[in-house]
Amino acid sequence: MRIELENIIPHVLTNTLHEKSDIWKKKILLKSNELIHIVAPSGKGKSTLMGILYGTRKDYKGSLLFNNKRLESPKDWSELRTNQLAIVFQDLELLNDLTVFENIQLKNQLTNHFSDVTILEMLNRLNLAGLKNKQVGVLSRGEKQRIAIIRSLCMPFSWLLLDEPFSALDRENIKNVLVLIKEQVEKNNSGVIIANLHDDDWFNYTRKLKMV
Amino acid sequence: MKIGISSILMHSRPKTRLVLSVVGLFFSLIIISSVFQSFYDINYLLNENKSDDEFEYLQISKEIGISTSLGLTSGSFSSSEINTIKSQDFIDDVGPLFSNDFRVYGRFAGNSFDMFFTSVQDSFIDSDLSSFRWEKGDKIVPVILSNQFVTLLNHAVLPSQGRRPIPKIAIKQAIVNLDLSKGSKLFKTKARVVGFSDRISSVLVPKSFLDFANQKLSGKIDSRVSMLILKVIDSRSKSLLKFLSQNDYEISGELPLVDNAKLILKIVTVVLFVFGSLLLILSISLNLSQLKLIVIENQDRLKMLILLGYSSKSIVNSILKLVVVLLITILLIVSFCVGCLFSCIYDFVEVYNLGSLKLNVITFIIPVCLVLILITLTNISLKKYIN
Repeated sequence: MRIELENIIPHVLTNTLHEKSDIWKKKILLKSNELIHIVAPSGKGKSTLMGILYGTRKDYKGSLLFNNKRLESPKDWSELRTNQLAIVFQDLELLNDLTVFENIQLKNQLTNHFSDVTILEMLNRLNLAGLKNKQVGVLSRGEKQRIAIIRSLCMPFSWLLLDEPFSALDRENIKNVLVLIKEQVEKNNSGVIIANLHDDDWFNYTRKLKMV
Repeated sequence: MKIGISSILMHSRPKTRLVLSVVGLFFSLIIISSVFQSFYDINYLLNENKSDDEFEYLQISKEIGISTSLGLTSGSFSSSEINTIKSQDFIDDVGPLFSNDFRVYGRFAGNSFDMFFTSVQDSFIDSDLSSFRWEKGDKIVPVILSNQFVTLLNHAVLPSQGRRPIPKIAIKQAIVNLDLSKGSKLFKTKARVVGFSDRISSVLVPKSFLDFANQKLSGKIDSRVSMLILKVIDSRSKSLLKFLSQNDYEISGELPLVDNAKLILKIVTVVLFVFGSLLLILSISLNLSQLKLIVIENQDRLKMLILLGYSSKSIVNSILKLVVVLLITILLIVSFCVGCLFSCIYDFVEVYNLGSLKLNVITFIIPVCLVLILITLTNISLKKYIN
């Protein structure tokens, strides 16, 4: 699925100069299978861009097209979020009073993408199997990040949006998570957009975009 | 393992308010259904005295004064008096009640008692007349008894003698031996009850038998008219009551007083209906407010479900499904409770011969309609809140 951004600028950044930004007020085409890295310090709009791409923010000028189509109705967005766009939010968006397994199942029952056995296997690979019946509210930030990542993979996505997804993970966990993500990206033949504070070599990026 | 969206929205939420609003809805539906059924029953009882063509029937007789006792005036109605009564605008028809001019002595199950017979033209009788026929030579005289008499027999006479009440079906099986006499003349025959009447408060026999017996024992061809049945449109009409009072005619059974009691019953039912409707409106508002509160309290969860890809339509449907199941359960319990309540009331009514009542289908249709309205309002509100 192609994503086109045409002269997009969020209202909150209208009065700021963006000459050095690769994204704001630019015409960008994100082709299928691209691995895109967005690097920017805090406050430059990484999460805002993810919100615009995922349809949760409408406070911007410019146009956003998916396969040359502008999405207008809530129904179009819900279809896109079920079948095309997967995301790991910076603030994770988990339900603290549900268990780990329930949080993942809430997404998976919508798409029927994985069996319970596969989900348990993924939890096991990310050292979360023992926590499957624990309420998410009592877990650490790092554990929550891994749960949110598994949940994001529970759909046949064309694009995976990752907003500072490994900020609370150690090297070992990042390695495990990357293996899992790459497997699913390859399987779905999809693209990845990852937003981060610093440069990294987690993926073989096809493009690096800056927001300064 | 499936996780219900509605259960997520109700997760870890205090249930007290929800339970209270559901209980409120339950009781308001019970009150509304009961009021409708009571309204129907009271109307039925009120109109029981009316024929299909909406007429009412009054039984009148002459007031017995000193002059009547001294034999100066007659206690019977003459033909001219009957014609005068018939000519009144507020009286549609008059049915003379002919009486016996002989003594009637009945014997049954070891008891003996004095009786009197009356007869009236068939169109004034509110009972099945298929067996109410007598021809000269018939061994058994068919009799129609007053329901008031049966009530009195079962609830006053028999209990005072330490005997058990006799159901109507058993009364119909009994054969009463009759001794009809005047002076030295005696005529023996038998009688059997073939029906019951609410309208006429005496023992009815076919006119053919009364004429036969009067002629045989008294030698009179014309039977005496001691009472009249008046067919009127409104028994409470002021003109009618004034006419009766002016002519010293009295109504048997104090009908206007009974009608006043019925009127009060009607007013009470209307008040109950208004009260029930108010309670229902409050209850529906409370339930809709609860729904709004649930949506407001779950804004974050609803937002998250939308972020995961759930459509607002699927969320609305999921909540609506729960509401429908809950309301159908309430509806079934309400129907069961109302059915049981009125079955008990009807058993009581039947024991006291107050009438034969049955549950009206509208009693069950009304709560169904109200629940459908509530479901529609819930659907509209959910769509409004969640979109």
